[in-house]
Amino acid sequence: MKRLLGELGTDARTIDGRALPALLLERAARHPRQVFMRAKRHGVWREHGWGEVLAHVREFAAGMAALGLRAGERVAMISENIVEAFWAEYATHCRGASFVGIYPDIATHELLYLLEHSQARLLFAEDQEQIDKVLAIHERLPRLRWVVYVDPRGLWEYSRPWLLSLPEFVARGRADAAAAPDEFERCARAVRLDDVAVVSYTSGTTGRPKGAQMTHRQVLDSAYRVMAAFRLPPHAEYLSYISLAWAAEQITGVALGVLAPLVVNFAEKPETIKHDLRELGPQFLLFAPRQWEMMSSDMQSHMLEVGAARRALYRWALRAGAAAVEPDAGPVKKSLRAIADRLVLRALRDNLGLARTRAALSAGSGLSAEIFALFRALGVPLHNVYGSTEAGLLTAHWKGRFKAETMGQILPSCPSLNSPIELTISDSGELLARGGSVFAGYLGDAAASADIFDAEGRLRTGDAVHLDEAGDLVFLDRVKDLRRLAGGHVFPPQFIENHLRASPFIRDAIVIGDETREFVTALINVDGEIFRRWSEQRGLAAATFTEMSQLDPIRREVAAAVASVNRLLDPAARVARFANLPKDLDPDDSELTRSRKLRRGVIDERFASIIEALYGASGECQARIRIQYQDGTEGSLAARVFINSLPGAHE
Amino acid sequence: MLPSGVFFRDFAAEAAYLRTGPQRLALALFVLALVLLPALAGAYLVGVITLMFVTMIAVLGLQITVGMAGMINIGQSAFVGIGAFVSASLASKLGWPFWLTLPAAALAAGVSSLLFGLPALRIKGFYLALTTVAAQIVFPIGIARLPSAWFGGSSGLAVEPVSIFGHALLKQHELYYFNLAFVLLFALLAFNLKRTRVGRALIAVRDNDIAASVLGVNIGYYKLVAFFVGAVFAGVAGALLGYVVSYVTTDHFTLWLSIWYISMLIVGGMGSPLGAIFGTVVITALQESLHALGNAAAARFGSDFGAFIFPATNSVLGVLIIAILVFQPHGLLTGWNTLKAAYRIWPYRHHGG
Amino acid sequence: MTVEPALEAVDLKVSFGAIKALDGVSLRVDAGQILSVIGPNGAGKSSLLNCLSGVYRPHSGRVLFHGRDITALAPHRRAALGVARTFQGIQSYASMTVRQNILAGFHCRMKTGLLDALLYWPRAQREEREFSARAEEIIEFLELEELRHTLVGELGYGLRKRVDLGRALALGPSVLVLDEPMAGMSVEEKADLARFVLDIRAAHNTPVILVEHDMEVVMDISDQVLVMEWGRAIALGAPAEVRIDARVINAYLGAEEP
Repeated sequence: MKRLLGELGTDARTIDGRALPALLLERAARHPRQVFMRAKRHGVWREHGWGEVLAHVREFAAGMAALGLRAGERVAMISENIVEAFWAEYATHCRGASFVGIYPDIATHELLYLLEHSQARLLFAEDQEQIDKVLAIHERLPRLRWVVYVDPRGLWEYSRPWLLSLPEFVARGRADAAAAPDEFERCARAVRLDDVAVVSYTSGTTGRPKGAQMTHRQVLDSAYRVMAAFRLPPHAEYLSYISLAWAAEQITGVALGVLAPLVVNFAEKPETIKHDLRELGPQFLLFAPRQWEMMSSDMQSHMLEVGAARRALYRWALRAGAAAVEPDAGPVKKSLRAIADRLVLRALRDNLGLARTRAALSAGSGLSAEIFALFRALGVPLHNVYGSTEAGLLTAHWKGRFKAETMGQILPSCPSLNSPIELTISDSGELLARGGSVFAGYLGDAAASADIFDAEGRLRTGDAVHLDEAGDLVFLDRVKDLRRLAGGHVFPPQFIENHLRASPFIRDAIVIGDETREFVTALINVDGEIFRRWSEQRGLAAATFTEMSQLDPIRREVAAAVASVNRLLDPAARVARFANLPKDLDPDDSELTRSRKLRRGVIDERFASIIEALYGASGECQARIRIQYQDGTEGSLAARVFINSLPGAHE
Repeated sequence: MLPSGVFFRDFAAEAAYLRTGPQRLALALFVLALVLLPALAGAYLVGVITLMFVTMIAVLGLQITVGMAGMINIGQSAFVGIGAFVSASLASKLGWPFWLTLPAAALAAGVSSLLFGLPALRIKGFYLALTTVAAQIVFPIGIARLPSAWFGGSSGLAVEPVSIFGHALLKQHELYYFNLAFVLLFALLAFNLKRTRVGRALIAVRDNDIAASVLGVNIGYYKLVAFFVGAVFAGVAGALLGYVVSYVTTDHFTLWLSIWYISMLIVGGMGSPLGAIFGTVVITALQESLHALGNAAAARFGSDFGAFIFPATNSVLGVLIIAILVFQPHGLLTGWNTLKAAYRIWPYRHHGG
Repeated sequence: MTVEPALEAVDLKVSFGAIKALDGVSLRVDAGQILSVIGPNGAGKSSLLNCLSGVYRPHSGRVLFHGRDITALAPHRRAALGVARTFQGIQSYASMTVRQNILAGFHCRMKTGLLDALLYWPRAQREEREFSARAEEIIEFLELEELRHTLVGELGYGLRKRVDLGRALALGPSVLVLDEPMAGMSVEEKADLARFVLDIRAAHNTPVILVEHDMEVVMDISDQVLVMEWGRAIALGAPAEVRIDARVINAYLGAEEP
């Protein structure tokens, strides 16, 4: 059991007990002409000032009131990130209702479930594609009264009593709004911090998605944490790209947009994001690992097209950039980096649209260390941020430490909303959160809502974490994916394997250890090609893969790689011993699938003698491996395999 | 392609020629350099550049006829000549001030170009080029045959200096500034034309005349417009030339000069007024440097050698032009644009160009 | 009440020497209708379209646009009336960008004259802005956003055909005449183009006359099909009727088979 206590933020922009609608009204009154949103449309970036946005929100809210929406009900929206989605969401908040964002690529039956479960009264749908989905399920949704579409294209001939175009929707509210002009503000100011702002459906790897109810307090507190940690200046340029269905965009886009406030930018279409990102050059953005991976592979594929000299320069510049990232980088490294920046890195950032970026966030676990390091070497201030829909954002790289493997340090919470975040790591390795502002339970699921808090009122994140030597949070696995050793200690097998694989010397790794074993061991498939070149440079002789895999210097290299992964783990969860496999794992030999996934059954059986030796007393074993080839013939391989022990791990 | 972070909020900003701070700064510095030049350069160089400005206006006009509308015109110097004679005649015989002689010269050149442009309604390419050569041939004969009281016949006309508010521009740098003002104005007009409805219609006629007509472009009208505007530029250049050289004869306006104009346009790049500017500057610079080299050689090795060296410099100039076209077949402008694009996209690979 | 035909051709005859390209062809298309013209190569389809758009003048017969005789009108005058046409193959302006091509299509809706253009004074600027915005609506409609500043010469065939269509739309057409808009396209590109044609009809009730070889598309989207052979119309009717017409099966399908 470990406890960590966060701190309170010192950013002067306070919330003062106001929910999003009151903040929106205050900001719009203070700077009505200041740009709030900017959307690329028809080839140019149209700007919407605070006054104009508020006018739209007012219109939307009046339309909602006219259609009979009451406080506490739900409004859903299925669309890409467009200005109208933000207007609809703020209007929903101003009516005291809560907003359900839905991914535009959702399947029809999933849409049915979300609309049914959320009991949405009103649905905004972006275009014909979404309306066609709704038409297929509408009769099974008696609670859904109205559907409003944004883009009329292709919908000219659709006629349903419950289907409205945006202008029709707005027109419905006009008479009421004229009759009672103060109604909008009265209703907006009545919204309280603990009202539910958003129902965010968590994807739920098991069972149906659950609707987490995020209160105004929760989204504002989390937004405050990002603002305070990254010192975002007012009116920073933000690119809204991640779906509103995701809690992270609700925090950094919708809530922070009003709080900081931000200039929220929208791409023309999802297809033009790359181009629009470059054109805009945002100061702040939040992408999922997937988007960072795509940017990196896009850049790398561009660099594959260039000549050898330019590629060599590129590689050198990335190395110089990476070397200067180290905290102890001296003046030489720093000046080399400055040269590399001038020649190559700055131009690459410019090409990617990250030249002006002050804070680039990667949310959701799993951005590979390699890609993280690449962006850092480029000079992009990339930070991991970690949290959950239920708990909000908890940690991020913000105190000058940004190792790819870690999720950083506890974020500072908002002094006017709540106490500092308190994190506990339970004996089973699970992260528990208290303090700060958390969600208000799952919609319509009291049992699950109660279940997520432990006896002391701490929220169970379901994530297995660990603190590294600097005290930074390392995400290991979901708790349910951990494996248990004979002594009761748990370890994260996938986490270890993924991190081992990230080493250039290791092609594949198989972590051994279960309730019959006392400690963790690993079988390592070294990367033959890389080691062959590595050995040649050092004048080491090895005729075969088998021989090479057992060479002393090579075993030492692998041991170093394993030790660096061990540093991310508790002593009891560390890899205590490993052996290098005497043969390359090969789909032709049935050890891997064609997509290079491990066939664990085959491996366990084929290398049983080595596995036994890993848990034996002798420092080596004479392995005899029978191989059943695909063509039916059989062969066998005899090899002397060394068992390597690592210091600092429990045996 | 622009650097990251440069984006436009409306179409007016997008259409502007100068869209970034550095671009505005570069142009401001360039104009400043042009303004300061007479103070720093010798009288000879200032004279050369003044003449270059005049040439540039003629080549800018040619870019409209040939580059935008795609009609070959090998008679541009005849239209320059018409402008020069009309202006000189009105100034010397009737005492018209320059602000009247200039438009008159422009109009005269423009209207007479229509005569030679009319065949363009029926014929294209090579045949059309020949009719423009006809303009080149008819021009000196016409001047010689018309009453010498009009245009001075074959002996030509003297031109009084330009007078502004009673002040005659006699000094070299005064003429320099006078012509600089006109070249800046006409460059702007040419750039303007390209980005509007009329410019697009001209390009449409060049790219695909049948499709243009079905989309509502009156092809005949725009072909004549192309000739007319090109010749108006020539007429203005002619009038200005008269004031610079202070005496005009038909010997100034030869087929040879027309071919130089075309060469400047081809070397610079036909697609944009910028190409006309590039070409004029580069060819003038080459001409002048080879000329200077020839002078130096003649001074060193004696005048007998000079008889050999001057034709030789022309051959070298020819070789240099061919070399430019071998490496940049679409003109220097294309090379410049490729270079800019490659710089912007660095270190990615630049495709095309 | 009788519906006034948007475009009507009466007894058109065109011959080149001894060859009768068109031998008494008539057709009419009403608002909101899609009329397809099919027939083997050399049947006179393009000659028919050329008479409708004014590239050819028929030796006899008349072309009526909303009841007005336009047989003698030059192509650019017909364009000004709203008869928009695309051609076989690629006819967009290669050296202009996608947006400039569409702006060029607005030629007869714009007013900037020579002097306005040279001086580019506020009136000309205003018009440029206004029509840039309108061009962008067409770009959005045809889903060409990523390519608005790309030179058309750098685009693939299917996209260039789409630009051709965009340029025709810029006329704000009262009748849209498309000559083999889908020839040489991939299946996906054809489906996109068919969708655009249907959307144009749905949004503006614009009648469309279409020459197309892909029978599947023709039967799918047309209200009427005109079948031609040797300069004559051999059948005219709804797709279902034409499909089973004996003469059509004989002539057209027979001609398709080598």
